[in-house]
Amino acid sequence: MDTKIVKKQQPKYINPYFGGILLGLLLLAAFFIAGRGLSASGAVKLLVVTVVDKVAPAHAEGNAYYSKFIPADGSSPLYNWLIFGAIGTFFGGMLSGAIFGRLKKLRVEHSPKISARTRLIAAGAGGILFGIGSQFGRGCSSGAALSGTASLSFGGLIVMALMFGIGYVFAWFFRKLWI
Amino acid sequence: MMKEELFISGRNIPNVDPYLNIWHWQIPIYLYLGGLAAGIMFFAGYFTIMRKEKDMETTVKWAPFLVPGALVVGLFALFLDLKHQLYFWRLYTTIRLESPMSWGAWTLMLVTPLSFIWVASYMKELFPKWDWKFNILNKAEALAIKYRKSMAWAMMLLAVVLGVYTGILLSAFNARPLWNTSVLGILFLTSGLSTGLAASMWMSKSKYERKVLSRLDLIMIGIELFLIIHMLMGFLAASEVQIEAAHLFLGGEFTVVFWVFVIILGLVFPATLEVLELKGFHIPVWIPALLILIGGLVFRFVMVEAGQITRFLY
Amino acid sequence: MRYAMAIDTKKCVGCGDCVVACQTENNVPHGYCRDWIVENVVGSYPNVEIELRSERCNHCDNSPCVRCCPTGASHIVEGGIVKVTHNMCIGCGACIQSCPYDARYSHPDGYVDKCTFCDHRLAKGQSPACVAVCPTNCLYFGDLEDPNSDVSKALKNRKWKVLAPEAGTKPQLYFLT
Repeated sequence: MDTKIVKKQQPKYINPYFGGILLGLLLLAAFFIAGRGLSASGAVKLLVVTVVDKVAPAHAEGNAYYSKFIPADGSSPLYNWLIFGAIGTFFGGMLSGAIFGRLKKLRVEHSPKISARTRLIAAGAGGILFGIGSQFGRGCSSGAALSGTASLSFGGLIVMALMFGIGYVFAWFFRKLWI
Repeated sequence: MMKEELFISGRNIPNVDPYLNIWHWQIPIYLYLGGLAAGIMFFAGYFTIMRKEKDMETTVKWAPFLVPGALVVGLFALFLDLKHQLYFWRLYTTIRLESPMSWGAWTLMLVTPLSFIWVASYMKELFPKWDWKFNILNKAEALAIKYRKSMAWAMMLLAVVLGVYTGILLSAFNARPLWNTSVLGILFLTSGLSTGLAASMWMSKSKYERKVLSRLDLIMIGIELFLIIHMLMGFLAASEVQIEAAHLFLGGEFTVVFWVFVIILGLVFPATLEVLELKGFHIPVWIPALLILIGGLVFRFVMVEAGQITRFLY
Repeated sequence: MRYAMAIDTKKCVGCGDCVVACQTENNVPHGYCRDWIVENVVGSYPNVEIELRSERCNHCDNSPCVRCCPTGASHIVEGGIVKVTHNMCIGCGACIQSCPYDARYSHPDGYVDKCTFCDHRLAKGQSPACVAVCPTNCLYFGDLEDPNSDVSKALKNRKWKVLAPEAGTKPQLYFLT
């Protein structure tokens, strides 16, 4: 039988400043390889467009917002670098978590003062608001803040500043969800 | 001066023009389930012969429960694909040695009952309250348990035939250049064995068993990658139609799906996770197993669809 | 007895009479055809060459469709004609996959169908519908083993080619070039 000690590690996290530099280099590589920046909300948006197109194609064609992302040649809106980037992020994160001991049992992480259900409802509400906001602002933290500021887009700078600024302001009201 | 050749025809036969698309989802599903069943059966038989039933309980006793269901669903999918369904029984009125489809029909005819018997022989052991209710069934069960070793040999042999058949079925059609490679037979067998190992690994609760299966799976994935690379190299070194067929995966319309979902997510990434697991990092077992299972399915879909697009003429 | 057909590509004008005659004679369902015209254009203006071909099942000597049929529905009859027995065909589509010339199609009634060299007409001493109707008389049909048949005489004096000889099927449709 096997007696090797299974490595039980303390979860390791990278130094945030070093991580930031790596993320910036990754963004540079994205511009170089794919000719465009990263955007997680973009990947989600493409998913939404695909679903709407499947369920109500006529509505999607007529709508100015959706129709822009439906390719003319009939291929799926999912055939886009963003989707594959998102898939890669998922599995890359998983690999990193596995190697550095962050991959544990499937669980909902939340403050000990609230229940998992509260956390999920709050996440859902926040996600909806963030989704609406990201589409109004033409990008999320990776799309507008990261890639937008990388290309010195003024709109991207404003989105980033307000996203984090407003978050800072409202954090006090939601502190109970975390501490 | 531009060199150009145009072929114009008014023909527009459904399912044949502009590209042959007579086989749809039913065939890849059938090939996949056949390969999966072959994989599970092969290792159930192998570990029985090696007298490792106690250590490899899931592989030998529990995983084969998937096989009868997989084969029945696969055969049903195949039945759905037939266009002259009322006459399906004609398949069993003759054996045509030159037709791989005939080989497959008869192999499945042998394998399916055998898998049912194998599962039935373990029913009392795994479900102590199980009662056959008829004395003749009890006698049959005793017979099955007595001849388990012979059944194991038969299962191993038939599993190999089944796995190879899923590939040879396609490679016998030399009119489809993408399929016309003898590598396909053993490639689909290896893929089937790998998916069978992944399924057994996922079901297993024993660390030792998972380790053994994981090591075997790594060998299978290694062989599979080797065969895929050599299949593509073979195409690139063959006639023009096959070079064009290979280009479907090297810049053509199937490039992304093939390399991302079949090779990276279906083979390389799960293999990496399995190596990490063997080195001591804790990886939830369902992740590599699920990726391998999905990768195998996508591989079959891609091969069937891409193969019908390739042709000799036009 | 080895039936074969020769198509004179210099005389074929691509009118499609052979297509329609076959559809009428054999009750081919609407949208399907057992023979078809292919216009093969090579080069670019002003150095353009066009070859017109009337194509159909090649009734191959080494027919992959007969070999791969799991029930034996695809078989070869007297004269080398490849035929399908409708009530033995299960509609699996293997023969369609195995034909390099894409000559077979799935009939809406379920079985697989294709050109039969109008063997019902041959039994009565007539020629296939397409051959009979061709306005330029570019289709020659007959017994290859008979040196006096139309097809033998046409092949004797002209250069000819077959389609996809590399597929190894030994097709019996000869295109006079």
